[in-house]
Amino acid sequence: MEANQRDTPLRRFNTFFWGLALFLVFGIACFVIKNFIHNDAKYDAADEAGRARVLKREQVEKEQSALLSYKKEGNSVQLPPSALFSIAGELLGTEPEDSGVPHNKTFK
Amino acid sequence: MSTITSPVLEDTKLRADIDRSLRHPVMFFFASGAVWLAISLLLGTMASIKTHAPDFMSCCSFLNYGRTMPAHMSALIYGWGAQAAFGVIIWLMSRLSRQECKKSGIILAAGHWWNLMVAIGTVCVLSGSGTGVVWMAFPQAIMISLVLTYFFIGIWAVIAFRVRRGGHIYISQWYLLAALFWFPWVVISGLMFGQLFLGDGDALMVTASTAWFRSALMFLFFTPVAAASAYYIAPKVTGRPVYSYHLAIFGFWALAIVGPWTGMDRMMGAPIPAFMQFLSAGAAVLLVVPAIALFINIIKTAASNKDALAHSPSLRFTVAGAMGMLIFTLMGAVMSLPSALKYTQFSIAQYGLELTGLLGFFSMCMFGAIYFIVPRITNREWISAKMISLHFWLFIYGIVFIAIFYTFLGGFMHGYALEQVGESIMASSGRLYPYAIGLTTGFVFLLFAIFMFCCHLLFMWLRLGRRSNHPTLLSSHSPSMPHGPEGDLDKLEPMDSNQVAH
Repeated sequence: MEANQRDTPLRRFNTFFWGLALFLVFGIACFVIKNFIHNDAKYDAADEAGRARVLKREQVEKEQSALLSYKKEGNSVQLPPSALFSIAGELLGTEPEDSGVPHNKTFK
Repeated sequence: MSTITSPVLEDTKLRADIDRSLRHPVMFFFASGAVWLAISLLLGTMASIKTHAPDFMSCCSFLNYGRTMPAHMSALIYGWGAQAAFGVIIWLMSRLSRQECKKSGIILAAGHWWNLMVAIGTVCVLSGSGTGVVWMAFPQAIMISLVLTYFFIGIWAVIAFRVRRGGHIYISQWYLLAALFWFPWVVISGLMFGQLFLGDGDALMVTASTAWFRSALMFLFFTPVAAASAYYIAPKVTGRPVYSYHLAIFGFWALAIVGPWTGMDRMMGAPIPAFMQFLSAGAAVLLVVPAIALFINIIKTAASNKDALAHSPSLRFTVAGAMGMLIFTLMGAVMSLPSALKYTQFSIAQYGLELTGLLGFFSMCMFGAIYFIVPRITNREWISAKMISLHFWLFIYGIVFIAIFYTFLGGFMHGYALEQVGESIMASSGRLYPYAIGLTTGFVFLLFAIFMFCCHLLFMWLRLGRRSNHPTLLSSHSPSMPHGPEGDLDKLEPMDSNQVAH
C-alpha cells in the first residue's frame, strides 16, 4: 500500500489546535454578540404597563380634585373633602343621641 | 475461487487494524448508550403511566412526573443519542478515511467521563436540582463538562479526516464532518444564550433559545449522523453504489441550509419578531426536501438487492430509519402549519414528534449501524437472528403506536380539547386518557425491544458471540444462501474477495 502523504505529525498537531480554536471561537462569538453587538436595552412589558397605569392614576386624581374643589351653586356650597375632616372628627367624637327621625317602617 | 490480490489483502488488513484500534471505545459507547436507552425508556414509561394513573409510584417523591420526564429526555439525548452517535462517528470516519485511531485510550477515558457526567446529571434531575429547561435539564456545570468532553471525543475523527488516504470524500464523510462541527456550535450557543447569559433568568429568552436548540440538535447533529450511517450501510450491504450521488449532495446542502432555521415555529404568537416564527414554520416544511432525497436514495439502493434487504438486519433497520425520517419530517411539516399550530403548539404533539424523530428515525439508523459494526470490532457474529427480529418488530410496533396514536391523533385531540373554552380543564384532560394509555403501550413495546437489544449487545461485548464466518441473517442459512453453508470460524478456508468486502 502506498504511503499516505497527508499523514504527518504537523498536520495532526495543526488540526488539533485548529479544532480547539474553533471550539473556543463558538464561545467567544456568543460572548461578543451578547456584549458588543446585541442591544441590551431591556423592554419590560410589566414596567411599560405600570408606567401607563401611573399616568392614568395621576390624570384621574387631577380631574377628581378639580371636581371636588370649592364651588358655590345657589344656597349650596361644595367644600373639598379635606375641609370637612375636622368637623367629621368632632362629630365622630360625640355621643350618639336620638335625632327624632323615625327609622322603623311601622311608625305612623 | 478467485485469487486474493495483494492490494485487497492489504486493505483487509488495514480495515482489521482500524477495527482493532477502535474496539474498546466504540463498544463502550454502544453498550453504555444501550443501557442509557433502557433507563430512559423506563423513566419515560413511568412518566407516561403517571399521566393516566397519577398515584403510580407516588410513594417516591423523586419519581414524580416533573422529575422523571426531564430525566427521561436527558438520558435519551445525552445517554443514548450522543453516545450512539459518537460510536458511529469515530468508527465510520476512521474506516472511510482509512486511518487507524491512535488515541483510543483518550476517547475511552472521555467516554467514561461523559457517562459519569450523564449519571450525575440524571441524579441531579431526579433529586430536583435540574434546571427545568427542556433538553438542557442537567445543571449548567454538567452541561459545560459535557461540551468539553465532547472535544476530546470528536477531535480525533476530524484529525482522521484531515490525514485520510485517497482523494475522494464520501457523502457519509460530508455528513459526519458537518455533524462534528455543528454539535459544538448548537450546544454552546444553546447553553450560553439559553442559560449562562441570563443570570436570574428571562423566561422568554430561555424558551426561544431552547426551542431553537431542540430543533437544531435534532436536524444538525442527530440527522446528519443517521444519514451518514444510512449512506454507508445501504451501499455496503447491497454491494451497489448509492443510487444518485448528486441527489445525496443536494440533500446534504438542503439540510445544511434549511436545518438551522427551524424551531421558532413553537414560539408562534410569542413576543419575538414575527418573521422568525413564520420563517421557522416554512423551514419545517422545507425539511421534507432533504428527507425525500435520503429516502429515495436509500430505498433505491436497497431495492437493487432485494435478497440483502430481506436478510440483512443492518439494512432492514436502516431502511426503516429512512422511512422514519420521511414520516418524521412530514409530521413536523403538518404540525408547523400556522393553521395546525393552533392545535399542536401547546399539546402533547410536540413531545410525540420528538420521540418519533429520536426513536423512529435516528435510533433505527443507529441500530442498523450497530448491527453492522459490532461483529467487525468484536470478531464475533450476533448470537440470535430471532432476537434481532424481535427487537426490530417490537420497536416498530412501539414507535408506530407513539407516532400515530399519541403524536398525531392524541396531539390534535389535546389541542382541540384545550381550545374548548367552555370546558373544564379536567374534562379536556379526560379526553387525553386513551392516548396516554396508548403512549404507555408504545413504551412497553419499546422496553421489551430494548431489553432484547441490550442483552444481545452485552453478550457481544463479553465476546460471547458466535465464532462463525456467517453474518447473522434474518432467515435460516442454507447452502443456497449467498454466504454458502454454515461453518465455524476456526475451520475457515481462505476467504475470497467478495467475502471480505466489508
